[in-house]
Amino acid sequence: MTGHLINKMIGVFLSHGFRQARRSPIWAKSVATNIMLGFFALMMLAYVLILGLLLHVVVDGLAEDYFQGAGRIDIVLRFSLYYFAMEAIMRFFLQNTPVLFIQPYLHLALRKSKIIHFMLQKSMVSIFNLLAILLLVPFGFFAILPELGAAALGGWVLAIFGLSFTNHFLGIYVKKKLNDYPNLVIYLLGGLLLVSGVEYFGIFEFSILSTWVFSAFINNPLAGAIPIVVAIILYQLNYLYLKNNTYPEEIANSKQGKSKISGDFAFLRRFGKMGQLVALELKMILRHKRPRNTLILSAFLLFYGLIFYTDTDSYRYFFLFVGVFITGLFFINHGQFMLSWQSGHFDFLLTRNVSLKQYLESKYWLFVVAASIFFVASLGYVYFGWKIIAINLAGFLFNIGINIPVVMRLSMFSPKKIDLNRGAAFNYEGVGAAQWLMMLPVMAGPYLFYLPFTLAGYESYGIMAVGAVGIVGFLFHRQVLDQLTKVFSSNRHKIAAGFRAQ
Amino acid sequence: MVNIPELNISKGESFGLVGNNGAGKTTFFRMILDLIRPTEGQVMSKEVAVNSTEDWKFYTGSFLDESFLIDYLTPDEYFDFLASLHGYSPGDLKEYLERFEDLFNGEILGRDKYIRDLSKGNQKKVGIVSALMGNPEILILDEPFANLDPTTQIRLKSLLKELSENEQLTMLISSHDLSHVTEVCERIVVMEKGLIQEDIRTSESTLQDLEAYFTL
Repeated sequence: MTGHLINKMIGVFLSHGFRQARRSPIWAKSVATNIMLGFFALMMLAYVLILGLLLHVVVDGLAEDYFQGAGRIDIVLRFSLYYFAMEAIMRFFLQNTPVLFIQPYLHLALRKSKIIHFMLQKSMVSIFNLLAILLLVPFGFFAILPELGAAALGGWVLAIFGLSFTNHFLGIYVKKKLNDYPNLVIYLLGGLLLVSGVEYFGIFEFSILSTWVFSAFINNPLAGAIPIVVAIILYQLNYLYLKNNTYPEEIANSKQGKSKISGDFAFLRRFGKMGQLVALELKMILRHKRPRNTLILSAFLLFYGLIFYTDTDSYRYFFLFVGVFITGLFFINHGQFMLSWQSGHFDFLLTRNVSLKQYLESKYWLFVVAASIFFVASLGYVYFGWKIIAINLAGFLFNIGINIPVVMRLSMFSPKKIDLNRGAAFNYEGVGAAQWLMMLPVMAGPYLFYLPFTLAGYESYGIMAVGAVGIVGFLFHRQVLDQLTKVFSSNRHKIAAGFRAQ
Repeated sequence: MVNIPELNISKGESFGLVGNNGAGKTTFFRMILDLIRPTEGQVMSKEVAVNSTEDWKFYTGSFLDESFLIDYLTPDEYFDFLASLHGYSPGDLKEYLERFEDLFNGEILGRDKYIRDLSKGNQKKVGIVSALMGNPEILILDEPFANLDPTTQIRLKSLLKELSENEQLTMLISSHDLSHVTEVCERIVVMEKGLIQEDIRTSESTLQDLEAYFTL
C-alpha cells in the first residue's frame, strides 16, 4: 500500500473510533462525565507543568536543609530513577492497555500489521506520557542548559522522552503478558520488595545508580538516545506479541483452556429464591474482572481508617465519616452499579418467575450482610480505642437502615450497561450523574443527626442518634423495599430498553 | 412501529408468526413479555394486563435472545438455578433434563464450559429447554430454528409438534422457515412493517400460499 493509502486507513480507523463513541446510546448521558474527567486531567497536567517549571527553585530551596548544599543538578539526578520507577508502578495500575475493537476488521482486506501499528501508535497519545516530559524537561532548560550547555540538554531531553515511552510500552507489554502468566504479578511484587529491602537496609543505594545513569545521559548526548532505542525495541516486542495473539477467540477470552468453574455457594440454597439470587450475584462477582476488582478495592480501602484514626485530635469530627465509609465500602462501590452489573441478562430477570420485590430483597440482604462483614473486619480498629468501635457501629447501623436504600434508589436512576470484563481502575463506564452524586447523601446524612448534638457539646448522644436512626430505618426495611419496588417497577421498561440499546 | 388493533390467541393454540426482517415480530413478543411498554393499548394475558401484575411470569416460558441467558454460568448451573426458581428437586431436574438428552447431543451438560463459550446453536438449545421448564401454559420462542443444525431442527420440530398436541399449552413461535412453521403451527399470522397482513388456519395449501406471498 502506498503512503497515501496508509494515511487514509488511519483516518478511517480514527473516524470509526470517533463514531463508535459518538453514536453509542450512552454518549449523551456521559458527556458530563467526560467533561469532568477532561477537566481533572487538564488540572493534573497543569499542576505537573507548574511543578516542572519551578523544579529548579524547589530543589534549591531543599538543598540547604536536606542535602548538605549539594548542587541542584546532582539532587535531581539522584532521584530521577526513583521517579521513573514510581511512574512505571503507577502506569501498571492506572493505564489502560490499548484495544481497538479489532474483530470487525480482521476479515477485511487489510494487513493485520497495519491494524496493530495503528493501535500501538494511537496508544501513545496518553496523559501518562506527558507527565515526565512536563516535569523534567523544563528543568533541563532552566538548570542544565545554563550550567552544562546545549549538548547536555539534548542528552537529557532525549533520555526523558525515551524513558517515558519505554515505561509506556513496558507497561503495556507486562499487562498483556499477565494474561498468559497470572503468576507474573507475584514475581513482580517479590522483585519490588527485594529492591525496596535492599534500599531500606542500606545494602545498596539506588540513588548512586540513578546518578550514574543520568549523568551518562548528560555527559554524552549519544547515551541519551539509548532509552529511545529501548522504547523502539519494546514497541517491536508489543507488535510481535499482538501479531501472534490477535485471533478473535483469544481476544474474547484471554484465559483460554483454563475454564475452571469456581464457587458453588450451596449453603445459600437454604434461603430459597433469595439465596439463589445472592449466589448468582456472587458468581457474577467472582467470574468477572471488574466486579472482582471492585471487591478487592473495597477490601483494601478498609485500611482507610489508619489515615485518620491515628490522629485523635485534628480528625476527631471526621471519624463518623470514616466509620460510615469503611462499613459501607461494598454497597457504595458495588451497589452504585446495582442494576448495571446485570445489564447482560436483564431481560431474564424481567421475564422469569422472580418478582421484582424478591430481586430487590436479595440485593438488600446481600448489602446488609456485606456491611456486617466489613463492620466485623473493622473491629480491629479497637486498637485506637472503644470510641472508634462505637462510631463504626453507629455508621454501620445508619448504613443498613438508611444508606443502603438510598444507594439502591439512586442506582435505579438511568443505569447504564457495563462491560464486566474490563478492569475497574479509571473505568468510568456506567458512571452517570447518580454515581457522582451518590456520596453526598450517604456521607452528609449521618451528620444531620450527629452535628446538632455535637455542637451542643454532647458528642456521644450524636453518635447514639445516628445509630438510632439507622435502627429505625432497618425496622421499616419492608416498607422501604415496597417503595423501592414501586420505583423499580415504573422504570423497568426504560432501564431494559437502555441496556438493550447497546 | 408495531400496530395491531386486536389479536386474540386462545388457550391451547399453536401460533406461528412470520414476516421479513424488521416486520416487528420480536418487538411484538417483547410487548407480550412486558419488556417494552406499548405506547397505546394493552397486552392481556388471562384477562390481566401484563404490565399491571407479575402473575404471567409464573405460567409463561420464553426465550427470545441471549439476554435471557446468564452467560457466566455453566448450563448445569443455569438449569440448577432455574430449577430452584421453579421449586424442582434435584431429582425432578435430572428427570426433566433427561427428556432432552437427544436434543443436547452430549454437548451441553457436564462440560464445564460457560454459556458464553458455547456456540450460538448450543446457546439456543439451553434457552429453549430453560423456557420449557416449570410446565408453562404459554411458551414464547423467537426463531427457535435459527442457528440449529439440521438434525436438531428436526428433533426440535417433533418436540414442538408433540407440545402443540397438549391442549393446555399455548405456543407462540416466530420463524423465517416457512415449512417448519407450517408444520408445527395451527395458525399462522403474517406481519409486515408492523401490521398484520394475513391470519391463516393452517391447511394443506398454506405453505404454497405463504411462499407465493413472500415471492416478490
